Amino acid sequence: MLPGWKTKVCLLLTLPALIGLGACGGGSLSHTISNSKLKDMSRQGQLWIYDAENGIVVALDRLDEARDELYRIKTQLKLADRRISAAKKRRNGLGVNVSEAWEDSLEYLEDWARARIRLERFGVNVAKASIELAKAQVIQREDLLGDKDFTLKEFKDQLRKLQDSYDRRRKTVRKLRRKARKKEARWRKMRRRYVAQTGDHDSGLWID
Amino acid sequence: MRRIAITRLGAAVILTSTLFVLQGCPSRIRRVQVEDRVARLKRDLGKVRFALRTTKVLISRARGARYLPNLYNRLAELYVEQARYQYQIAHEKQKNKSAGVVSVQAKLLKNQAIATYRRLLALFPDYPDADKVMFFMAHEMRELGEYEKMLQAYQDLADKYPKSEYRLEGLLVMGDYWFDKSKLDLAEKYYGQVLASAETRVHAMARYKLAWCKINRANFKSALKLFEGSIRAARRFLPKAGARTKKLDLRREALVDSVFCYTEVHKPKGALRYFKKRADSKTTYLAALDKLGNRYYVKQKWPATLAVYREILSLTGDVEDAVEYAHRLFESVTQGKLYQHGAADVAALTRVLQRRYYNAALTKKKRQALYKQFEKYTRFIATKLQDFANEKKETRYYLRAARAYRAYLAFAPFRKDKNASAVRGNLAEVLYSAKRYIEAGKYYEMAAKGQKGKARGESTYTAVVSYFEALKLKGKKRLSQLDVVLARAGLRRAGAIYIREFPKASEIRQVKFNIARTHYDAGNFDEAILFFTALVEQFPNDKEATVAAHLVLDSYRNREDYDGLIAAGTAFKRISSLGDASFKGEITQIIKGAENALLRTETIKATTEEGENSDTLERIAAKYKGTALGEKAMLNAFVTARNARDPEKVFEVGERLIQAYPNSKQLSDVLATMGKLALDSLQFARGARYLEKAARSKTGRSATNLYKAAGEIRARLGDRKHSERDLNVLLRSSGSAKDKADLAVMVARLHVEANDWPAVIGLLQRASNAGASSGPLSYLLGYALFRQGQLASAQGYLGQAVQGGRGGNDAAKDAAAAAQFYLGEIAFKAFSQVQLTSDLSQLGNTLQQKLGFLGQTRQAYTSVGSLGSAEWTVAALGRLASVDAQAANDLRNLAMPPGLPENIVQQVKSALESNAAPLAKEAKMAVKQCASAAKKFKVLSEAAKACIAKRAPEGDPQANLTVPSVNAGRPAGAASLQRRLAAKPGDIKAIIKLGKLYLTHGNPYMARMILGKGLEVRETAKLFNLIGVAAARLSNFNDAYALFERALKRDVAYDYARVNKAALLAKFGHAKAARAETKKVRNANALTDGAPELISGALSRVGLAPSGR
Repeated sequence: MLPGWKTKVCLLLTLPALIGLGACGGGSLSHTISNSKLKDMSRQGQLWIYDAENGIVVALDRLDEARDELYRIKTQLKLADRRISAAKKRRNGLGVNVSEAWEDSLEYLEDWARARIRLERFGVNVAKASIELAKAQVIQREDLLGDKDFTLKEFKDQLRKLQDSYDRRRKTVRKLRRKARKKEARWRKMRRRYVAQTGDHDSGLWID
Repeated sequence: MRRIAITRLGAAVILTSTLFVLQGCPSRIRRVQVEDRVARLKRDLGKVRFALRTTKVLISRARGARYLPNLYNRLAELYVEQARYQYQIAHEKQKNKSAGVVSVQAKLLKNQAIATYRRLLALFPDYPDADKVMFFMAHEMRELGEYEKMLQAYQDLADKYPKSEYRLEGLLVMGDYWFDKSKLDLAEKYYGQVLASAETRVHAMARYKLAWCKINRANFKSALKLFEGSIRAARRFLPKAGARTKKLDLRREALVDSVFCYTEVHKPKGALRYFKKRADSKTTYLAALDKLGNRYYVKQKWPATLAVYREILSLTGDVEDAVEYAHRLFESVTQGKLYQHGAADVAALTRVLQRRYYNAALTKKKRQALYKQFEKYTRFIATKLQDFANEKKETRYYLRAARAYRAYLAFAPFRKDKNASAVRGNLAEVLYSAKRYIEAGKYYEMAAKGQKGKARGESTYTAVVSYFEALKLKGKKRLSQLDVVLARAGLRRAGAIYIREFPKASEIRQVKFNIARTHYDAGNFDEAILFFTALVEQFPNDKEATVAAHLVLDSYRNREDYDGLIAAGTAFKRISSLGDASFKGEITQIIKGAENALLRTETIKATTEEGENSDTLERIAAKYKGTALGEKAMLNAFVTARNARDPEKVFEVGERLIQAYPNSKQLSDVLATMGKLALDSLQFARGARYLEKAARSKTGRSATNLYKAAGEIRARLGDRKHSERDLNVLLRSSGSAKDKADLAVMVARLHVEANDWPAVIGLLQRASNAGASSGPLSYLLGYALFRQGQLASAQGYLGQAVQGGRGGNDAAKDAAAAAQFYLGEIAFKAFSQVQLTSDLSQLGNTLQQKLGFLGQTRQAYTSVGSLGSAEWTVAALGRLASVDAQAANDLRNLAMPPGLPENIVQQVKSALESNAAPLAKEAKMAVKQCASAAKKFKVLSEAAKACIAKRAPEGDPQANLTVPSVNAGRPAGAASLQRRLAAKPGDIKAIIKLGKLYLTHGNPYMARMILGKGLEVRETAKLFNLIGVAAARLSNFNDAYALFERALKRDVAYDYARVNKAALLAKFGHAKAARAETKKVRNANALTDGAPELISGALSRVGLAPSGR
């Protein structure tokens, strides 16, 4: 049965998004479903897959956030560099140490930000796997293939493995964040000490 | 633009021509001689003379011709022309002399021309151009100075030719003549005649002249009107020529000449508009303005003067005049104190200077003088304008002052002037007053660059304040997004400079606060946190410090960094000089809120599908150990683990929670949950432990129930120590007598199995004192006392147990039967203790006593059968046989007293035998009945075994009971099965597997409990069989037998149960039955000796062991 005009429209709307997934970056999936198998799906099926695509949007949004964060940190690093130079110019050895500690914490933060970007790129992959599972569910529910051998298990396993991997990576990212926090705490401590020793509240913060 | 395509040929031609031209150019420069003007005039004179001769010839030949008058006209013109040349020659020759030019020839020729005109008019009165002839004739008369003749001629012309176009010109000339003679009346008359006729191009001039008449009469109003009319007329006839004479541009002249009149007639306001409207070009307008300005300047009307010169300067392109005008303008401004439009004035002055200053013709000295002067002018005006603005305090004046200063600074050399910094400062000030804060800030910064010391500090600080004020604007004056960014950047920039150079200034804290605030407002929370924190640390006593602290915390909140917020808040609280008690209280509340928020977010994260489980919560708990937050985090982690159905995790987190927060109010619920989970996952010992801990934190009935449950579990697990401990607590509580008794009995049985009779007695007495009472309790206590030889006390309790069994449940009945049995045993002991003596004097008593005890014993044993316990009935029957046999033996073996006659001895023996024989017979009967009952009821006991072996059982049937030692450890593989069961408590396969593990491991108690749980899910043959095996290992053989039977009921083909049943039967002497069961085994080869499904040695016992097949 050929799809009606509404279905065609919906397909037309859906397909670019589905096609566009290919351009989203990240690795490829071992289990995918070609769109040709979905040509007879119902409106409900389309909506189901459409809903699943929200995951991609969310994943991409997270990726953008991560990139913005890295950009911000890089800007801070440049500022930190200038602070170090200013301190060197003033021949303020202690101040240089404090500024370097700040730079150090920012570098850790940069590592975290980069790791986060890698994580969220992977997250896009996870979202793609979720979409493939959604497609598989539609196929099964609507018996689009008429194939008794079709099983959801592979797609579920694929998503589960990716999700587990994502969770593990997220833990690593969080660890990096904690390390960065520790470095920041170290900088604060050094700064307090510096202020207590020299009475200079301004160098490396207000005036550099 | 299209390029002209040059062909190759064309290019060649051009090149060749150029070369040729260059070739032909002389090598020397030619000097051109100046033309001799006299010679040229003479040449022209010659031509005229020739023309004259020719005309005369033509006249002579043209008698009667129609064109003859024209010839005469031409002749006269030639004379005039010749006269002109003559005059010019004379002029050339005499021009260096001071005296006037005299030319007699010219005069004569003119007279000749006049004569010729007269002749023409006389000869040809109807000549069409007669008016023209007359006009020219009068003109020549005028040239000759014959004014009266001229006047006459013009008058004749006017009279005779009223419609001639020359008439009006003639009148005009007449008017001019009288005007020059200062005969204004006559002049006006003739001018008036011109104006009275229809409008022609002459009227413009007539009006112009008439206007001058009026001026001379001081009638400026009329004069002005006439000038206006003259201008209109001149404009009207402009395209038709005649409006511009060779010497006079009427439009310009009239306008310029009208200036004086205007200044007399009208007020200055509107003057510029007036003249602009009437000027036909910029040049004319400027000319008029020049005169106007001068006029007002003379009259010292400064506002008007200023306006005019301002206008001139805005239009004029004449640089040199402009300088003069500039001076006039400045003078007007200063004299009139007209500063309110100083911006335009300064702009005008700087424009003039701009054009003049770079003139290469100026000497250095002049340039410097000019610079100095104009610099003074512009600065003066701008400053005065600022003063004016300060007086008026109106924004528009401030803005004008700003424009004036900007105009000053627009001139590049001024920007490097020593006063430039002050000017910038002033500019900044007026911008600030005009609420243009961003620009004010910018200029304050620029001013500061050129300043030093205190002034620099003030300027820098004021720049900061300006930017700050800009950011405060609201409503319609609110800044655009770009301006906001600029203001913030400016504030930070100026602030940084101020801080760097004036770190000890009193405004420093305010500056720092504002810098930090810009970051906060921009959403740069990281920076805001850094700066505000530094501020708080540097100025903890300041009133802004508390605000800064709050903003730090708010920044953390905005980032949802609750960890950071808590750390910061805690740090702030530690600063003693920061804020008062109320502030500290606020911080505490905020921290609390953050803790809740932290927990909330982490808990939500942990419990979502994509969550990270409870690790983060545990980390929080570890970090905030000992605090309310730590406790909450731990609780949430516990809940998360529970929801994830991970029992090990639940236990792990729960244990840590219990250890860390032993006084937590949630502890009892946690323990209850852990207990339930443990029991669900069949970790009974653990479950009991948690129940005990839970009970400790509860009171009343809840605690009692928990202790009871825990005690029961412990008891079923064979844990004497802990079960007794639970019992002790239960006994001290207000639990029911039944509950106490039930648990006491369970625990006491464990002691019984361990042959620890003092423990049994102590425990049961305590229980009894605590109000526990039941048949089994009484029985066990009685039995224990019996075992300890305290027969009198034992009797009492055993009697209670017998009483309690009547109408009681199965356990009570069983206990009653056992108690009755042991009452029999006590009687038996008493019976046995009585020794028949051969002393005849004692024999009677002892015999009676013994018979009495025999009767009691028999009575006691016989009564067992009515109490409904097959096992004890068999045992009683067996003991009955023993009693009877012993009685018979005692009688038979009674020693005769010595010295007794033989026949008496025989008689006595015969009498004794007559009593003994029935007893012996009854003994045999009892054994038979015992065996029969044992076979009938399949009693599996040593007593039954003895009876079946046709022997009377001896001694206490429970005397040799042994329970194997228990391996209490957890076998390998149990943990995973328990996890599986925690997730799915009804997993029969896992239950069976776990039960078998424990059986193999050597813990039948645990196995029994585990497998018993399985029965609650589903009753299977396997389960029954395995529980039976566990029971058998615990020496509960009758229970085991019943279980094997139930297994076979479920599955008649279950060989394990069959073999087990057969083995038990064989063990206890039911050989035939055992054989019958063995025959029903279907596949003995499938059975493995040593399998947990078989009781120990089962296959061997029934002859199915591999070697025996």
